[in-house]
Amino acid sequence: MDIDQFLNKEFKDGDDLIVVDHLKKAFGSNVVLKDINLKVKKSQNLVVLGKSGIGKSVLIKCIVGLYSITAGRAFVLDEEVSTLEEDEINTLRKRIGYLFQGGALYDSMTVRENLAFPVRRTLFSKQPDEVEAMVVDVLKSVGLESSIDKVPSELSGGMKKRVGLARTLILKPDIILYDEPTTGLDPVTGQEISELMLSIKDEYDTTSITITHDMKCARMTANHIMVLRDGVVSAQGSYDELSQSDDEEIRAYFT
Amino acid sequence: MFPTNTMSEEKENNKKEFGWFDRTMLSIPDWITEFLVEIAEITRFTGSFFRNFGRRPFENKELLRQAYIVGFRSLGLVAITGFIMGMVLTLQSRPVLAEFGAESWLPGMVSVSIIMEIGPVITALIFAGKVGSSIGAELGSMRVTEQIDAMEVSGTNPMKFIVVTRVISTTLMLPVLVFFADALALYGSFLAVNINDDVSLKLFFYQAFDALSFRDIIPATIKTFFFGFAVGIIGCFKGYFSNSGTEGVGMSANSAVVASSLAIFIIDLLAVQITSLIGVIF
Repeated sequence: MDIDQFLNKEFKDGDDLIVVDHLKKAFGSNVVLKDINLKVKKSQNLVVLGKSGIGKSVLIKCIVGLYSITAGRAFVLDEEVSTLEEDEINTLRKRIGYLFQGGALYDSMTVRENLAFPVRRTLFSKQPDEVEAMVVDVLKSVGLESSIDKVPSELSGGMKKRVGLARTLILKPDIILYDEPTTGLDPVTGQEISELMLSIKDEYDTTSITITHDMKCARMTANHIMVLRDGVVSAQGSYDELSQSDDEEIRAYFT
Repeated sequence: MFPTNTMSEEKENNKKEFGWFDRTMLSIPDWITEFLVEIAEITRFTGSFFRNFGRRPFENKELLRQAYIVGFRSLGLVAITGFIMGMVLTLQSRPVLAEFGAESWLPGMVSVSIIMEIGPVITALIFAGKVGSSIGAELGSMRVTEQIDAMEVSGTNPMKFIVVTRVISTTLMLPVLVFFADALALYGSFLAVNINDDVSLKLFFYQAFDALSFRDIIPATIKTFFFGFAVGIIGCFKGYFSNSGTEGVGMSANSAVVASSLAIFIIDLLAVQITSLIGVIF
């Protein structure tokens, strides 16, 4: 991989930014994902539904290279994830954002330090005042500029998610992977996060995969929905198509 | 969540398919296999530490923060323990030496015991209990709350930021703490000697250091670097690969203390053997 060329590589509407081809993931003798195929085009949001423990988070962790793939292939921004060296995958990850379920903020750092952390370690040429400006800008976009000096223990669940999202956005990723962005939040805060996801998509032109159980969030943000069952994709389509599915179990998600 | 075969069941199934060599290997008890796998994993983890050790950019700020946490914050506990250690050793040894009228040997005997063996080992064990458990629990908690994953996906190398800084801190700070513990142990010993006798501080320390040579002090100091390295790398390893859940975090902290305490005794045994061998050669 030519790193400079890769970082400046442009994609146009209609390009497939994420392609998963017959992906299989097993932990020892436990086969979690048997045969997954999917494509996500630029500027689209794919929502993945499925029962708890079915392997939805495992799927996006395979896509971002946190888990190795047992069989099959995953391409992100035209790069095959499993064939990349450590430095190459770190370069690829500069263009991918990942919002963890609990925010995954660094406990020992303030919000400012949490946000500056990835910038200082990936964009070496940035001066401290430039980093500070980036931090303030991105915090404004999630509406939390007043919390810049707080530590994670002083933040509510919703605020942690917003800061996590800000940390994801600060490197201006092309792709964002949302792992249950509204889980554990009250309906009002959940709606606010969903609206934030939409505004981020418009403002930053991001492509995303969202793992969720929150159908309100799915309805607001999804261009395409995929349902996982028994380690395979059991159904896919638009929100309206799947909500009228003949399969009772699929319909149950939408009621 | 998912059905699993135990290692024993898998071995039983596999035994039917393999030859005598494989059957012999499969008949090795699980705990031995698990122990050997753990040794292999910790060796690989140590290799990864050395690969990341010299890579730029250096995390100097985090290194200083960790040095402050593992060093300065352990000073009080180590100082009190050292002081009491010196007093107790003196009070318990005095009656035996008094039987032979050899009380004047007390400072020399205590200094040799403290500086060569008891000071480094006891301080390292206390360090393992305080710092090893805290590193195991902290990294375990970071693993469970996906903070380590978050570093990885943001293109940051967690080995360099989390592990290298902590291991260097423990390696460099433990010898300093041992130095403080030794000094306070000797001062405690001086006070204990003066409960029954009247010895000046100058005379006490003259007698204490008269019994020591650099050949005693240098190996005792060198081994403390290895103790510190063992506490750091084992604490980090246990935490870094913690199982999910609060129980996993607790187990990481606990096993970090147990494994690093065991490692301290093994390193001490090797150090004594190597020192004796070098003494014979030179």
